[in-house]
Amino acid sequence: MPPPTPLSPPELSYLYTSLSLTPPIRLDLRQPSQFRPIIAECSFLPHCNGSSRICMTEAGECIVGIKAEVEKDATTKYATVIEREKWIEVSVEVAGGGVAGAGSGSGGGGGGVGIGGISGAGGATGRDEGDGGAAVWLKEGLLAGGGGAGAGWSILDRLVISSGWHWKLYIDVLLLTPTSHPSPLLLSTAVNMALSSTYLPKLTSPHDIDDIPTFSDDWAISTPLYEPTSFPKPPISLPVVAVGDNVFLDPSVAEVAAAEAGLVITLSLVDEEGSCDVVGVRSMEVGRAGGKEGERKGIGRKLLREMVGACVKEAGEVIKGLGETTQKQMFRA
Amino acid sequence: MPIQIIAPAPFVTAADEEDDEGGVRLDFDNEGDIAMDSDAPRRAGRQTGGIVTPGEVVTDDPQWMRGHGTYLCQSHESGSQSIVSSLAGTISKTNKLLSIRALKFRYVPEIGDLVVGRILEVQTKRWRVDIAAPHSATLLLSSINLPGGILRKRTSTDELQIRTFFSEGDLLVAEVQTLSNDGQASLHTRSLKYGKLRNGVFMMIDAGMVRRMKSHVLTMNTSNGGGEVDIYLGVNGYIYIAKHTTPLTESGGPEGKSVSITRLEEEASEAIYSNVNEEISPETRAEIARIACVIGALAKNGVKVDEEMVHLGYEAALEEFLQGMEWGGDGEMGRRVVEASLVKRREQ
Repeated sequence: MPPPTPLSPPELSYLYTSLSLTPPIRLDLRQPSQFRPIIAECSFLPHCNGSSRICMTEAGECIVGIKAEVEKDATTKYATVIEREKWIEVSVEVAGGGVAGAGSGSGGGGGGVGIGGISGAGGATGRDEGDGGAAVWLKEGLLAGGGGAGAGWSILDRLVISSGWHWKLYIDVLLLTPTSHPSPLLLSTAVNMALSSTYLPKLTSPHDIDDIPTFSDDWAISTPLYEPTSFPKPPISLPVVAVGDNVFLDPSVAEVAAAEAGLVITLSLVDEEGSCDVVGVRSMEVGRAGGKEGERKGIGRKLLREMVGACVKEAGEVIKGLGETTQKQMFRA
Repeated sequence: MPIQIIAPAPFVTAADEEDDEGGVRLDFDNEGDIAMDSDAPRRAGRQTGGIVTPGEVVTDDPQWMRGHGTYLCQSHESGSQSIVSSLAGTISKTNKLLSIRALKFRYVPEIGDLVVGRILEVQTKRWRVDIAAPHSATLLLSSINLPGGILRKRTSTDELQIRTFFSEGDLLVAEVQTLSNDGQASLHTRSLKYGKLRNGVFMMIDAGMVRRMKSHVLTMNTSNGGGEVDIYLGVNGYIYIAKHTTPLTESGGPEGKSVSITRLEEEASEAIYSNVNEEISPETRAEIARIACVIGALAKNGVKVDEEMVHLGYEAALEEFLQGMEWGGDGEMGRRVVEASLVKRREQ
């Protein structure tokens, strides 16, 4: 396969002008805040506690499997936070390529998988080599999941089994189409769906005993990692770009190339109405960062607000939609 | 709902399609059993012209001849030769010749094809062009229109400023001039119909989805004040849709070419390699996007793209638009437009 080539200057200028019109014209005639359809499937890997498969038109296909293991609590008095963060291990692997891991075990091996040019998340250039790129970014969102109304809530609390024992989650992400453009949306929807389909076996031994815990082998009474009815839900990251004063969700590769500013915003759903909390913001590399050639400009306060606002507005529906699809597929039989 | 989430299509085994008589039956005049093993679904797949995968034994019956997409393989135990598929596709049969038609394939260049390509690399005297073929094509410096007229010889100055004509990423429309032994194409743009592409959008569909036609450059009259739009339907599945430009591409028609050569000297100036778009109105942009959506929907729904279908599809899309339907993120609108245009074609 030939390497991806840059767009020609006339193409870029055409795109830029079309997108900065009022109202803007996207090349696929989508509304600015409309996503492209995705194909989603969950809970299909028999050996995993939770799994998902997502296909997108441009970004390709991604499979996530989540496995839980019982582990003895190693937290000491002084290193609680660091030790507890190791309870979740994320690895992102490109089919036929290297592994990028976050956590104690696989961290540091090989260059990170940079996703959609998220700054500070590693990248194929190996800028932050060893930090695992996308894996770190995914884990960050997970650990942060729960601010505002759900303040103090942490997924790590749900992993505690009894005093002295906890679950260790292994989240393995496999990108099946390495040549295409791996979008942050693809990874985060896949992880989101896998997490909401994750079920852990029910504990049968008492909570307050230090002995090795025992579990029921009946999956019908297993407990979900994220309660389907309660909040917060697993987080999701939405890419958003801005061209002129217009803000676009789910940008295509060409739109990213023509954009002036780009952000990846991680959000989690906090209540029934669909209001969301922003739990993380990362900047995304875009083609014309800093305006037209030669000019350098940052993101204005108003524009930044608009970009975040657009994500917050739509994220609730997206997370709810994903959750409903997961529920439907989990209990269809 | 900003996002549409689709459940994957249910898995269909080959055995389910056993009643389908549309495919090729290998055993229709066979006395012996052609099946290699007793594996029922696999045998059914082969017999009904279902899908074979690379390495799958098609038949070991010596009466068949091996065609495209297959190779002969000697069996270890019996020593008999069997025909094995080298592609993923459907079996097609011409008399005693067995060949495999691939489900998805790259473009195979043929001399005279109009292709749309993108420059991959600039070399000393030529460009490497991506035309969606297994090999990238070459475009020699001597086979483009040099500014100042077609009869001019290329000079070392031209070689030095090769990037002013085409540089990496540029899109161009060209014709396949020659083919080398391994199928690598050499292109030329020595006509005013060909050259650098501006003022529009590029899209790609599968190579097999563009029907070969008399002319692959269509000019369409669009409504809603969009004016005229040019569509370059590359045979290789690369498509460029642009605002209609008068001065340089006007010279179509039977006599157009001879006229264009005499006028070339004045017109083939530096302007044909310009990277600057003309002024394009929002109306034209909207119609260009609509045409792009129609072509994408046709290809996605398995309808070959040609002049007639583009016109019918565009009409159908306009009718839907008047009824207030919006092209959304879902494929629903595309399906409706394609269905409507197929109905129209049947009526004609």
